[in-house]
Amino acid sequence: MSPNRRILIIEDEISILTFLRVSLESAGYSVKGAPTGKDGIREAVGFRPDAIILDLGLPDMDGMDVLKKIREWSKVPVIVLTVKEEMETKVSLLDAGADDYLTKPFSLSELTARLRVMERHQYPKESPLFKSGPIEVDLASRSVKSFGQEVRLTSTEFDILKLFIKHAGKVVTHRQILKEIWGPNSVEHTQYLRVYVGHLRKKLEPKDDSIKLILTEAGVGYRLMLLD
Amino acid sequence: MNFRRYESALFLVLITAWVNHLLLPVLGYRAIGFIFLLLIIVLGLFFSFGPILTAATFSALVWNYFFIPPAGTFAIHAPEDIMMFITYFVVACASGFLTLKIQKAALFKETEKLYQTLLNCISHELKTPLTTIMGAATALQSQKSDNLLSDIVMASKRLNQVFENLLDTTRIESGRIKLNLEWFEISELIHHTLDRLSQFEAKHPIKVMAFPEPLYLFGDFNLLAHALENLILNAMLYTKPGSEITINAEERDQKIVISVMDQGPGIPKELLKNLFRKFYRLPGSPSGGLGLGLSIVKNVVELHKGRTHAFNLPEGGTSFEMIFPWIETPLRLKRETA
Repeated sequence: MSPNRRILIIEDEISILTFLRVSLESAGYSVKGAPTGKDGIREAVGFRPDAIILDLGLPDMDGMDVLKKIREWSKVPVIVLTVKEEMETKVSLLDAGADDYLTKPFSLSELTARLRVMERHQYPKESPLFKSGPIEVDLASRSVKSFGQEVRLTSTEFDILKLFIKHAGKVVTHRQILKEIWGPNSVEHTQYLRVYVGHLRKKLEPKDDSIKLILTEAGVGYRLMLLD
Repeated sequence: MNFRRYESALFLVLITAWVNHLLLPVLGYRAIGFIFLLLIIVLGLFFSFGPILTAATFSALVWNYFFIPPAGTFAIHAPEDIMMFITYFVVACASGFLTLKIQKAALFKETEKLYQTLLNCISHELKTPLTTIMGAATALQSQKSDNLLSDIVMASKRLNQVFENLLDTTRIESGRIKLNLEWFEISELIHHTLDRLSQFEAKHPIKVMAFPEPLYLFGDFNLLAHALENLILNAMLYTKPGSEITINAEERDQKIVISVMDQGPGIPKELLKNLFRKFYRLPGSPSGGLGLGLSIVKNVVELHKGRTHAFNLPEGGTSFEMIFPWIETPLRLKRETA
């Protein structure tokens, strides 16, 4: 991680803010806390953060409105903190421009992993080659290998994988997949999407479940893991 | 019951009747009927069903007695007057019914909103301190590994599971769950569930039996994963560490059956039927549960028109089954796997 990346945390719970501040600072980030939505929007301008962690339950504003306000002028990565019940909210937040979310309670390593992914997407390496764990993909020649073995994908499976790679490490919503692969009016595919992704996962991951490459994000979508 | 409303409704009918009495020479008794109808519809905006129906009946009688010839009697001679009278009565009553429907819909929406807010609030209040505990413990863990810290993390995960079960029970029982139906392979469901369970340092080896694939199910993936998770967690909680848990799926007698089998001591036969009851816990159960897990399983399975079944295995241990009605696999999926 590049030193001195600035993280803005918009969160009203002092205890959560404290532990985030302490642990992120000791990981080398410089951190600013904002206890209200208004403060958050102001600091998003003043502090010029490299990433924002936004809690949904703010006292003065709806988290969604804070996100929309920030998105009016900034592309800064935003990670939203939610509770499980807000499944539809999660999806609409992602639609409104949030980059990712974390479900409370979460572990510190989950958060830092998300931050690293954000950083990676901010400064993308232009390369047709993608590697994560056992898989190697050459987007130019459409070749896919898992554990060095060529894997044959159907064209739908390859398109889904391509979309996952474009957003590697980040969540991809069901709607995003349907729209990108089958076009905006692809209602008929909704009921089958999980089967397609299931087949893709089976072809790429080892049989013994020792490596998880494609994670199911309950109620939201999928996440292609970035593995060493 | 609010009698004031009834009184006001009847009073308004009388006032309208008096106004109509003044207008009678100008308008004629048939147009008078429309003025009464207007009153009923306006009442519909402010009053509830009972008073509206009362006003409708009362105004019909008043119109008939005082205005429809021969005035001063309830008799009606002209066939078109009889027709008018019946139409009036039906329209007035229908407007009462419509009002009732609209009011009910509004009330339902209101309750729905209140309920959602309440649930989100509770969930937020429960999870905020838990987030601090788990977050701070994992942060300390990254600095030095310590058994006590990992105990805190494990305990927070367990507590989170209890909260989820509590919130899910509330949600499912309120009948406010909308099933998000889709096709998926059962192996995918099992894979996902085991993946979620990997956060609980497993002390039980879990074996997935090789079942004929692909075996498809049409249902709500997340809810069913939650149900399966509860079954496996249950097996973990009630059997000795190290004893094996087996998961199987099969097509049996035109049904799809997913079963979780443990190698525990078995369950006394007379208690088996209680297992899926809410808040039921077997005598001598270890602490750390509310007895909600299996009742959620039952509710989720029943939402899918299936049933649950628990029985002791002849070789020892207990088997918990989720049994779903079999649905013909669509051609699209058959082609996909061909």
